[in-house]
Amino acid sequence: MLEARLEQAGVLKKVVDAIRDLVQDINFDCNDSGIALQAMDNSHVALVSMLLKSEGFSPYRLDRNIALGINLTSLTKVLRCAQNEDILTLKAEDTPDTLSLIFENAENDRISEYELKLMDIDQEHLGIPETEYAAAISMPSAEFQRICRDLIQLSDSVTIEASKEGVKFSCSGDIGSGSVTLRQQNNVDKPDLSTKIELTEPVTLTFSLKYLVNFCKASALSSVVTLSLSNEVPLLVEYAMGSGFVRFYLAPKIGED
Amino acid sequence: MSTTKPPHIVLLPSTLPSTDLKIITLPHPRTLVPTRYLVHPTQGLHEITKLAAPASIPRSWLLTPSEPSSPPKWLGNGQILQDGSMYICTPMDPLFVLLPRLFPADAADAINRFLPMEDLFEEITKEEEEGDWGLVVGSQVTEKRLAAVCESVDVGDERAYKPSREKLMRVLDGKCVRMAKGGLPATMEEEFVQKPLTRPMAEIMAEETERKKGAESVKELEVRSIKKQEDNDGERGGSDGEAAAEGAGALFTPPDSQAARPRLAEASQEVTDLLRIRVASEFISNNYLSISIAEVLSDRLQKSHDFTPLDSYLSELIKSRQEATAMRSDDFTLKRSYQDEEGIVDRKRKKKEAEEAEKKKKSVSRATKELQKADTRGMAKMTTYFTRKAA
Repeated sequence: MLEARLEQAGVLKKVVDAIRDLVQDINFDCNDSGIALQAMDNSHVALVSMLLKSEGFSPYRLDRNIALGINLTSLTKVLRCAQNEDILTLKAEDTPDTLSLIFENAENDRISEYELKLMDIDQEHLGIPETEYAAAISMPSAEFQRICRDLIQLSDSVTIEASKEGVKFSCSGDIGSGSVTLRQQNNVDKPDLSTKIELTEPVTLTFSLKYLVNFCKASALSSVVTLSLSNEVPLLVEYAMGSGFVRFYLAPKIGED
Repeated sequence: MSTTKPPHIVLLPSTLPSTDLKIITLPHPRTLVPTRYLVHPTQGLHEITKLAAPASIPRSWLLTPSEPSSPPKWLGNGQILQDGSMYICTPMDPLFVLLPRLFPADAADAINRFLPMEDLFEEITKEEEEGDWGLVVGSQVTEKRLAAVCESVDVGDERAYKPSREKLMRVLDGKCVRMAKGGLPATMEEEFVQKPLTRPMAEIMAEETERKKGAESVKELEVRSIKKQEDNDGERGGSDGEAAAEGAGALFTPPDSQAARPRLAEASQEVTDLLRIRVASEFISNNYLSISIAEVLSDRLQKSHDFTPLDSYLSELIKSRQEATAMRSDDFTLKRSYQDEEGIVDRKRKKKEAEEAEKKKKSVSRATKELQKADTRGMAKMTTYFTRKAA
């Protein structure tokens, strides 16, 4: 039996919105640490990993671990019926056929209850090792989103070059080329707008912009995004939430040009 | 109302004075069931075939005296017979009725010695009442026919005979070929030769014309078909005595007779001839030969005629017919063969799957579709970086 109460339905709405274009059918794994999911996109070059920690719920009750097989399109339909400020309660049996979602609106004392049919999804889990990245860039998520959207006008792929001076996003396509460079800066008044680079060695890698633009849909989750790069490993794009995270992994483009 | 049995209508051979004729009972060569035959001391055996109107088109007879002034006693002023059937007597090779005895299915019973004709007859007719057999055996025709299937040696001033399968086969083979030569009787030709050889497209078109002609030809149908029957039998009987009354039950002529609707068989003459021989042999086998002899005959025909062109043509036809049916089953789903049933189920399943895939595709967002178009060249799979966790 699962019972998880989320103070703001908006959190789940944003999480689902962030990943539903990347993956369609997905298992929500409920265990003691919280509700987690992990899935690769259809081409298996990207991976999304999400965790909503149990601390984020009040209360979070779980008798035994369960997996909720959910079609994200369907879940989105149900979540559209919730307002961001609604209190969301998830309920499921131990071997569930359905997931109940209850939206409570404190303001006008409305309670909406929805049942979502679950499905059996065969999913493999990948073990993601702890990695020391050569470069970790944290920057405003809106800034990252803007850069990606600008550069995709010119090309399908972007080269991210991390050095001591800053991080340079550059691309070149049929109509020309372009680049955006962000220098390290510390905004004391608004720390969210700072750009920080932790660097052990300079890294230059190329990535598909279509995927990066897609990841940026998670910008609503957090004002800060962290890009972690190393040669020979996938790029990690992390959106941290108060009690959880959404992480995207993307394989670099190798051997082209 | 008279209590006597109503008369039967029997067509007798016109050449014979009816006073000499006798109806006898002999075992049928195929089934060994006692069957009525007509016998004449010199002209030999005649088989009696009943022509009955099908139940769907009931018929009756109206008999009137030819000279109303002096009607025959039995007829009176005329008579109506409820039973519309007619019996036709046609000459028959007496050999057929003797075959089961001359060449028994069990080899142990076979006659292996040379015997004079009288002894041979005795051998054949033993264990039987003499009466009816005597009439068959006594006729000149029978003796000649018997000699044709026997090896013979001269013993002093007499000839002795021994039944020979080899000779029998030669005779039967000859019968098949002769029957086939120059075409089979019209109704048989239509049903067993033309139809099986017609290409499906021609068939469809022919059906169209048939529908138009069908209505008018029905009326004159019976008279004409019976007449034709007589003609055929007359000719055949004269030639060889193997008169072929068409398989007793299958006598009703379909509304579209050969004359009304000439159908162009596209098969080559060779193929048509082969099929005629095959049909003839089947007809003879099914009507006059015991099963064991029929088998031997079909083997013999396989050896003496090369049926491969016919077989390949027929198999080709079957294929094209199936194709034609498949084509039509698209138009009228009711007209489908059983073989298509599986295909249809298969098609339905595929359609359903396609629909589901389509539905799934539609539910996918634009962004997802966009993402699927992303160029992933040079990008390694996630599984190359991260190892699978044991479930």
